[in-house]
Amino acid sequence: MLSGFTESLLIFIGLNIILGLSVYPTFSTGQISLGQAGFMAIGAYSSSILSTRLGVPFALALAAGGAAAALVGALIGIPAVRVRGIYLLIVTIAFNEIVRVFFLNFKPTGAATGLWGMRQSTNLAWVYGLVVLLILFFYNVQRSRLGRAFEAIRQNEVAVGMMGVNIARAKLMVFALGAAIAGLGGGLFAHYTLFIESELFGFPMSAEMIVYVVLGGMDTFWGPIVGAILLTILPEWLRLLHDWRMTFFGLLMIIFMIVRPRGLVGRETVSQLSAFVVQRLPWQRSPRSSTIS
Amino acid sequence: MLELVEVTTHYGPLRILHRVSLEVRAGEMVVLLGGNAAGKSTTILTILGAVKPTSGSVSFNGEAITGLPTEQIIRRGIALVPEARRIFRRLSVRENLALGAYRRRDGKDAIGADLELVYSLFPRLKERERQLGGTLSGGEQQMLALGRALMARPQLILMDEPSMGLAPALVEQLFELIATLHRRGLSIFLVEQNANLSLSIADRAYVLQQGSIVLSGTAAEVLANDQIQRAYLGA
Amino acid sequence: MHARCAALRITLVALTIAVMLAAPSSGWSKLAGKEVTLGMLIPLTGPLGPEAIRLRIGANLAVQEINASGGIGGLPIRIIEYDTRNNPGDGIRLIKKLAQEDKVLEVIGPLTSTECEIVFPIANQLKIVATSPSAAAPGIGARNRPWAFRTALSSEKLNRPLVKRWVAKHGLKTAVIITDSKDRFSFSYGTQAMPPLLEEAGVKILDRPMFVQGDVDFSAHVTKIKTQKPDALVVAALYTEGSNIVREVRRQQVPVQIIGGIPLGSAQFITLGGEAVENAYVVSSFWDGNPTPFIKQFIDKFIAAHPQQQPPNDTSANAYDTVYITKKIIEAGGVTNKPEDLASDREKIRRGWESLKDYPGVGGTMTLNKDGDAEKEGYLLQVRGGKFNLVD
Repeated sequence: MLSGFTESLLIFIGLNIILGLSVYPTFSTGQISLGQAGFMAIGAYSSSILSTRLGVPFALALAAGGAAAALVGALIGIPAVRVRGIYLLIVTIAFNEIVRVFFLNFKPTGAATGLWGMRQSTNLAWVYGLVVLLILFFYNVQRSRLGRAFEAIRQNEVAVGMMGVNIARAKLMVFALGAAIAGLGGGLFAHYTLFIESELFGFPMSAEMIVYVVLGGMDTFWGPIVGAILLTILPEWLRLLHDWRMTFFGLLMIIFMIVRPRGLVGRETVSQLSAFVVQRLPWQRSPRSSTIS
Repeated sequence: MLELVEVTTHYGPLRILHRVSLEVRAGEMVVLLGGNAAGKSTTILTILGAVKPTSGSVSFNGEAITGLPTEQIIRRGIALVPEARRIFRRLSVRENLALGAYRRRDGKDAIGADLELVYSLFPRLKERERQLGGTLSGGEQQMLALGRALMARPQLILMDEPSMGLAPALVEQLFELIATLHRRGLSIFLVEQNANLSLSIADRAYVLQQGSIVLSGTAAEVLANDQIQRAYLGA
Repeated sequence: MHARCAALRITLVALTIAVMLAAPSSGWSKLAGKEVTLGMLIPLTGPLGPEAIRLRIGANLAVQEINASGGIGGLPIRIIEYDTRNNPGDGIRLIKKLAQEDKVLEVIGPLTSTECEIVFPIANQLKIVATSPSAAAPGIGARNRPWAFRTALSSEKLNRPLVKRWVAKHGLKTAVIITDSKDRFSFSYGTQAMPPLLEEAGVKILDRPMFVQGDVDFSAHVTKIKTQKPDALVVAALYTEGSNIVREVRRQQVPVQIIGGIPLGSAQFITLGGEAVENAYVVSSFWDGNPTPFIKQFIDKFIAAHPQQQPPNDTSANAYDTVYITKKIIEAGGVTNKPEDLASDREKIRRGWESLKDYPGVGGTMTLNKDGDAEKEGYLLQVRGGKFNLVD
């Protein structure tokens, strides 16, 4: 039996993994969105309205929240994919702020008093079910033609255009995908905290998601997963340091970034680790044919 | 196969190409010679739709492709070996090659067969197929760029200064390979500064100077031209 | 000096030991165990850190005083404190930890209304009292019966009588409310709390202009307000923008009475506003210039304990009162402090809070209503001579 504390810690580790993974698609094409909390808000509010006011079943409300976020993501994406680097950062931060202020003022979703009345539908099964689905999804994308194209866009946009990859469409796709994942995360979040208000989805939330990727590593989707786990558990472990906790935590982050500037998990880490595991498997893996999958 | 008619391009107010006309016929290897800033790269970018001409037209297999987006042009069977190689340094050799086949829809088997073909042409790539592109030597990277272009199974390959930055011995090896590809029936449009070697393997040549074609003819004719002798061959 | 301190400490320790030894025979202690543990959830990390420190110092002052004079039924109080970082996930799991692993008798906190909205329902699930010394948004208590309590005065209860008094004092007929549309607290104060209260008091609202947190130039807003000729201006803003608005009103010599909410009750409002904020009114549930002896004593002790020697606010006072109220409830309510009685002890504490009536605290004389919210009087303060003064 898990204690209540451990169970809710696990729930938030899972939620943070989902949120970290929402940053990854855009990141995988070399762009940074600092507005993911805005998409999270859209998913949280729309799924909550559906489940509380309209009695829509949880699974459907959750999916609708993800879809709503994806739709807004695609609309925002059309202008957003045309800008890069620091300009995209500014566009996405502005978007986050617009969403926050919108929900602060929008009466039907509670405006400044917030929204409540959700049932606690989110549990470990839902959260980790989605985590597993996302891992399978990203694992397959990473090995697919599209996944290679995303990675190539990150490395050299000009060259990849010359390979015949439609860069604008690829970027729009990852933007909407990231928004959808953040929206799903928002729906799960709302049905666990049972209360949401605009303030919860401000810039600090978006920044936290970015930190998962930066700390965990930006080369593969395992990076944000490791980052989210560490950044949720570490502050909890460091509680014994009392008031020095966050100081030490900050110091630790700096050390991590100096020692592993590309994040804790890199491409090499994953291949070394999988080679290590494969070598120790009791059966021999058959040599793979050289066709490209 | 590929035809440029009176193509003029500008970069802002600056004119880069001035009424450039040239042609690559099926099975032919054509070289475009020119010094730095003559407009060689712009010619390639114009063919690929990355630069829009202010006037004139580009056609491929009789179809006008002027102003089409790059991926549409690529899909019609043109592949590029880009300048300075531009391989993906943090993708493996194999992944780099796979990206070359991005636009192909003819199935895994056909793509797999072409991969074997590329590996047979460049055995070094086979040896290093799991290594990251960035860990290859300059010559190997050039082979990878070439192999990647072949993976698209193109009708026409554009090569932007493949000899740049390579040691002379490697350059000769590379040109031998290009000649082999040509003998196998591939159409090649080669942009080069190295007149001697490229003229020795090409069928025909154009010379570009300050954005205009100043000379054209068979490789032998161009090689014999006094101006070319002085400007490019130091004779 | 040093020797006297040490001597004092030895005396205190001796006294404590004496009281503890005497306790079993004196009959008023029936508590088991070595100590009475309470939980505390405060957002030490992040922008609310200074406010969390004010809460902590308030509670700790009470703990020190109580422990120095014999503790609760002979046992010292220990507060197990966790930092929530103002993060909803931390709030949820830490109240579970306090209730299920640390097995505390009650939880003091959380600090903000948002945290309370998220943590109070868990307190109800776990059947443990959570009492917030600071959350002021209306309705939170009512939604979280029966285990959640608030010693803070919710904003409509604070404002209603004071606004009425302010309106009557100046015979106000018309008002303009200027609101920060970006700051959550100011927004609900300006758009939800104040309009019905003004209308109840017979004041007509002429206009409700909005601005955005971070704005610096308010000349256009104020020029327009000048043409509308209201009797009064309600400033729903944080102190930075609030002081700039008041400066502009004075510069353009608009003859209005000015009133602001709790954020303007901060000393920084006067520092930034200077001469311009003279005569402006603010409502507050605590007055740090209160001369009542036992409150003044608390204020002085607090200032000495604060790292920057700042005065306490309503949160500090309520936290201090909460610990004393808890002591009173435990002693009067038959709490045993035995591990096997934890559930019934918590229920006894809950009933104690529910029936709290006319408790004379440093944060005002307090009664808890059926929503679990405090009923007490707030203060209408006016800036005079660079200080907040009580308006009679």
